[in-house]
Amino acid sequence: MTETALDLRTERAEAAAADWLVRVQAGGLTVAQGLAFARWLGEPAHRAVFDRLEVLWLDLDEVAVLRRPSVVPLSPARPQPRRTPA
Amino acid sequence: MIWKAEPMGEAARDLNGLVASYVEHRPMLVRLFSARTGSAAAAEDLVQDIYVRIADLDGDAPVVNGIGYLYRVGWNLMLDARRGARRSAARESHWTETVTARVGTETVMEEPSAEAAIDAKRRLEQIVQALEELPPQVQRAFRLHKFDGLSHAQVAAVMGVSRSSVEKHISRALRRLLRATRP
Repeated sequence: MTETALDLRTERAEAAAADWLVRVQAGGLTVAQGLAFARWLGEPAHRAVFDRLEVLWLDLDEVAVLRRPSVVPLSPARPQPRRTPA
Repeated sequence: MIWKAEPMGEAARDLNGLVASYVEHRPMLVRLFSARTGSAAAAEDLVQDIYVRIADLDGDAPVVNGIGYLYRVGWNLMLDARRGARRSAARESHWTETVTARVGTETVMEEPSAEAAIDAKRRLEQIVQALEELPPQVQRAFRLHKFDGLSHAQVAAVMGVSRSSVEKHISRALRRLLRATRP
């Protein structure tokens, strides 16, 4: 496989992994999507990318600790932060 | 019948709905988490933990999409486990380092743990830089969600955009960060 083709595959897998993670987190994954996600994860290269994404997600917790408070303009209408969803 | 005369509260019905949803979708949960962990046994344990978690809820779970909620609970449990494993690994390496320093000779060797710490630091710096290079709206949505703990819907309200835009922003941010941290 050429370098470019490999890059393109990696990029596609990264995009898909990000979309899956966001969908899982939104709590809106349907049965059909869950099956599609399981199929997608069945590809070892995909699982490796998703694993990287989870490691990244945990690393971001450490970034958050380093950089708190993040710069967010507070407005009176700002809703209370939700606790980590169960 | 007594139970009819005293209808269950909304919350209790939701909880029962969740358990019913769990029973119905258990095989799907095992299937997805088997695919994720690569181990049917690990998936079984995790899916059992999902049950323990939802059975623990005080009945105040506002659940619309049962299976989606259960997938999310499972994913969070998995991440919690990894977080815990990371912490004990960090403690372990710290312990090794301390002991080595105390009993070591004057020769300062490059400790694997020190090397790993430098790699970890470099990686965090990479992430911070990639975060700062995100387009402003993407960055804002991502920070509000990941660092301030707002839900997608709350981020949407704060930013005055749709929830689907927020989800696109977050996905885009993750994509960029993944790219910036490729091995």
